[in-house]
Amino acid sequence: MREKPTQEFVGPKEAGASLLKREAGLPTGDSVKRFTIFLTTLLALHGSAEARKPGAHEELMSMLPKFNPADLQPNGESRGLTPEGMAKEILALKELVSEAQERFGGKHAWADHTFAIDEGPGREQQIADSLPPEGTVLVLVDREIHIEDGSRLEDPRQYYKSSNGIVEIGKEVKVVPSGEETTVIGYGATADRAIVNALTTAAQNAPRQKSPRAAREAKNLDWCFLKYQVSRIGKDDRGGFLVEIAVEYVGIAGQ
Amino acid sequence: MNNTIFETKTIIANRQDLDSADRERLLKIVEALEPEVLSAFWKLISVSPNSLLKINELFKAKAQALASGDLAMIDKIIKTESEFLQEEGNIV
Repeated sequence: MREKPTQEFVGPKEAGASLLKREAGLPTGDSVKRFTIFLTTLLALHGSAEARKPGAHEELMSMLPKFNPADLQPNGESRGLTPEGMAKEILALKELVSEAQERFGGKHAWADHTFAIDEGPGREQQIADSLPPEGTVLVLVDREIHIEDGSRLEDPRQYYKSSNGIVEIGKEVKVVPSGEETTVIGYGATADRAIVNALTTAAQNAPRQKSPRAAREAKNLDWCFLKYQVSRIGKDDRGGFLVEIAVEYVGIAGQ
Repeated sequence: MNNTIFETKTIIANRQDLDSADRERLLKIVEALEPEVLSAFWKLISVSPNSLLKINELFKAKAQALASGDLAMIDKIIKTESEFLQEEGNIV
């Protein structure tokens, strides 16, 4: 008689503890990959019945691996962006948006930044205009994260920056259709913010283009020209806005 | 109002390579996340939208393993994660 293979089952709490214990012994590697692994564990634990009990969130956080801060900053120096560096980047994008607006002759422009440095809270700055429901725009997107290897998920030594610039292209500029079209969805606290979120996502997914002169100096910048039209606008279930936008990626003659 | 939740939902809603049930599940999960976990999630997928596919794959496997309490499934997840960490290349 063949012996049945053994299969061990435990309760959800024990299963969670087992997963965390085993993951703590995983080999070191790319810090973003480790970050992804711990994040998915937290998401799975967060959705479990155990996690819905009062105080469970704190307990879950305390279960995540802890590291000695001295291991994270061996020289005692803070890495990444400084407040001064952050201020320079804000001015650089503002200048880039102004230059592009002057070059392309559009009436509307949008620029915003979110920065988080080390353990500090995120800071947002918005130099905003309103965006029309349709138009042709240059979209500039900058996203960068630096995670110290081995940092705690909820309290990582890191910096993060997110910058968006949108510049309307004037009607006198010759637009070259690419034939590549898509539909994007955007959520936002305001209709303008929902449009910005949708257009920046469209830019991140855009086919690569030759760098326009306006963006040539900027590093780590995703950008594209696109023509858009808001086809639907409504409210989402958090009281924010939900927009659906038809997008066509375009080129600009001479760029 | 902070843009984190809205940008996170925008990125998820536009991932056509996730099936619609997975997108809906992730949209519901992020609505309920504690702010610091949401912030970590948002930063990662905004820098690396492709990481959302790996997050979805690992999250589904872990949720299933935790719900069933099957330690063999946890073994399999650890093996997958170990291989993932040792793969060459970065997901960002």
